[in-house]
Amino acid sequence: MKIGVKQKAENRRAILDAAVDLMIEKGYRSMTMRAVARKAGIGDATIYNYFPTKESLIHGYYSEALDTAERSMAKVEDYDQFDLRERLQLLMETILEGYLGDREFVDETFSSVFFRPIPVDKGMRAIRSRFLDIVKEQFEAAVESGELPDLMLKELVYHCIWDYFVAVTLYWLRDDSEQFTNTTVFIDKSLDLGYTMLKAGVLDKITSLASFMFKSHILSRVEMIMEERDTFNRLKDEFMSHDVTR
Amino acid sequence: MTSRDETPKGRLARGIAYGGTAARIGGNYLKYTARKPFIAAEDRDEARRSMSEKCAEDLFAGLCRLKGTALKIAQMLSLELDIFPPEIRRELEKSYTDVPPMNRSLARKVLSTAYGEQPEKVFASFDSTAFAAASLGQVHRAMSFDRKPLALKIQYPAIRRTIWDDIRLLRGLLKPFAGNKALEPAIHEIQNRLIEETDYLAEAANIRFFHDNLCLEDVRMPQVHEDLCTESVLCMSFLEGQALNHWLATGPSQEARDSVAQDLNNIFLHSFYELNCIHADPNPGNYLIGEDLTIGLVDFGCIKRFTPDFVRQYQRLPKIIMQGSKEKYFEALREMEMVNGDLDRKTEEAIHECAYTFGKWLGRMFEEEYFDFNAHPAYIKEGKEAIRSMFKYRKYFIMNPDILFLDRTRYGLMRIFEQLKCRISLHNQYEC
Repeated sequence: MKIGVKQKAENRRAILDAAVDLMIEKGYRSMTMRAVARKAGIGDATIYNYFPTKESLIHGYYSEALDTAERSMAKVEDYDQFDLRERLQLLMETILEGYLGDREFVDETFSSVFFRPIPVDKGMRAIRSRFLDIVKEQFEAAVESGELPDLMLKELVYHCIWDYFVAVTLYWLRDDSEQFTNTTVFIDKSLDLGYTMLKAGVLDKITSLASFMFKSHILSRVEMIMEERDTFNRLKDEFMSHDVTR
Repeated sequence: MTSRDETPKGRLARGIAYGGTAARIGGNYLKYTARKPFIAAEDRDEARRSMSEKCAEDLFAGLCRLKGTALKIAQMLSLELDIFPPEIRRELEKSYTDVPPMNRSLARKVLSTAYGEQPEKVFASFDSTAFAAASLGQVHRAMSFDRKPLALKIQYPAIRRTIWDDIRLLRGLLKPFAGNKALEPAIHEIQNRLIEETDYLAEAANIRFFHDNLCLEDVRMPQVHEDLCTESVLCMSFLEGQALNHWLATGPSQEARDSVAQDLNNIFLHSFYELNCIHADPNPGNYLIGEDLTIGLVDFGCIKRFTPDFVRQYQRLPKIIMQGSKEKYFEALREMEMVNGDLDRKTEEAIHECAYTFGKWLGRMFEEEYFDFNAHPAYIKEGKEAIRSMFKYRKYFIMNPDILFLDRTRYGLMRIFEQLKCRISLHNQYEC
């Protein structure tokens, strides 16, 4: 039986919804793929076409959340007038608003997904690169409009914002103020600071300082090692070419 | 692109902002004091003025960085305090309507938190850039789905908590200014008002009250859309018009100014004597003058209700003061619980002397049918002198908070008349 793209997306959504509900009800351990499939109204085997493992369900949820946030930001009427700082703030707030309905689920899973020791797995890498793409787009628009000077180490900045996003979410999960006002204030205030630093090119200055340190300290050590290696190679060559007859 | 929003919100950050301001003011003052002995007498005034100007700029910059509470305080102080030199007042007066806004994302966030939905779902359109600053928030334009223009007053998040911090810090900030002790009751009153003003649902009820009861020609009031009001968002119909101070800057004619002043006076008299309830925030930004010279009243966060008894007693006061009968005067004051019970003859005599001067001053406004503020530019100043001489006896007076508010409003109104340079008939059916 062939199904359309739309139906596929709907099934995906239904499975994720079911998984979130079940996990809130029973917890991750006692949730089974079969139970999720039943709840979503999907065949026991079909579910594996969408999500091969329980873990991939969780990853699926977080990347779906990013898609939803991006769609919802596209609906903002005057988004094209927003500056980078406002866009970043909107991104954070929109993602959190998406999490709001599933807060217990996010609370249970967020740390295990986003705080994994290396190596970062494939599912997680997909979420991160999805997020970095959105941020990259926002930055490129800002550079193009002349709002921000072109940065030397863009990738590093994007990763900082990823870390910032993880921090904001953790803050939000611990926030007990009414309607999470503290998180809103926290985002507003911290972005003020971050954006000011970006505009002043602080990061570029730090990284050029860091690269200077790196060059002068690490690389000089490496050179020492290289010298040692040369000595070692010489010895090795001598040993290998040792003429027994001599 | 909007100017970036740099309001520090945490207590520590706000402390730093205030601290920075105070340190700068202190620095200027120190410089002035150090130079003082070496400045020739005729230059001293000049040096003093330039110091005040520098302080005022620093103070304003400090207050503007804090917005919210500080903005409100700036507005209140700029009206009320002649304790400040004119240079400082001028800077403070800037705060009426011109302040840096909350950024677009934050404004959206406040709305979506209040409604539980994106603004696009609630309004046909929503302008995320504010068009005016309001007390403790800002005002945005929106359009309802049935194409009615709306004004949305949006509150800064977590404002209530910051009010307490701000007031405490403000006390420190005001220390370098002369006469800061006299400000204490004012600051206390301001604090209570501010907390009240954060409740937008209460304000919605106030607007409804005035909308239904203050029926005057030439006066417009917004209509509240109750289904879209929450504690932090106030939704009302949009009122056309220019803020009074902006309108005045366009150089309106004498007739226009006279007409506006007369309407403002009518609004006050009618509210106080008929409704026993006044719009107690005579800030020029709260009056929107339309092209047809009608007045749009906005910002009902600060209103004051009086008991009918109080109104009746107050009503007699101007006449008694102007007639100059000592017995009647003290009788009235005691009835209103404004003076301590037992005063010795000498004190009573002295107070009455001052009151008589004040009464004479007050009477000048009513001597002729029309009073011309343009022809008497020093009039308000003279009145202030009269009040100041009464100030010496303040320990014998009981500060009645009702009087405090009433005086503030009337005084604010007089200041507006002075700025309007209007010719106005102050005779009225209620007082004389």
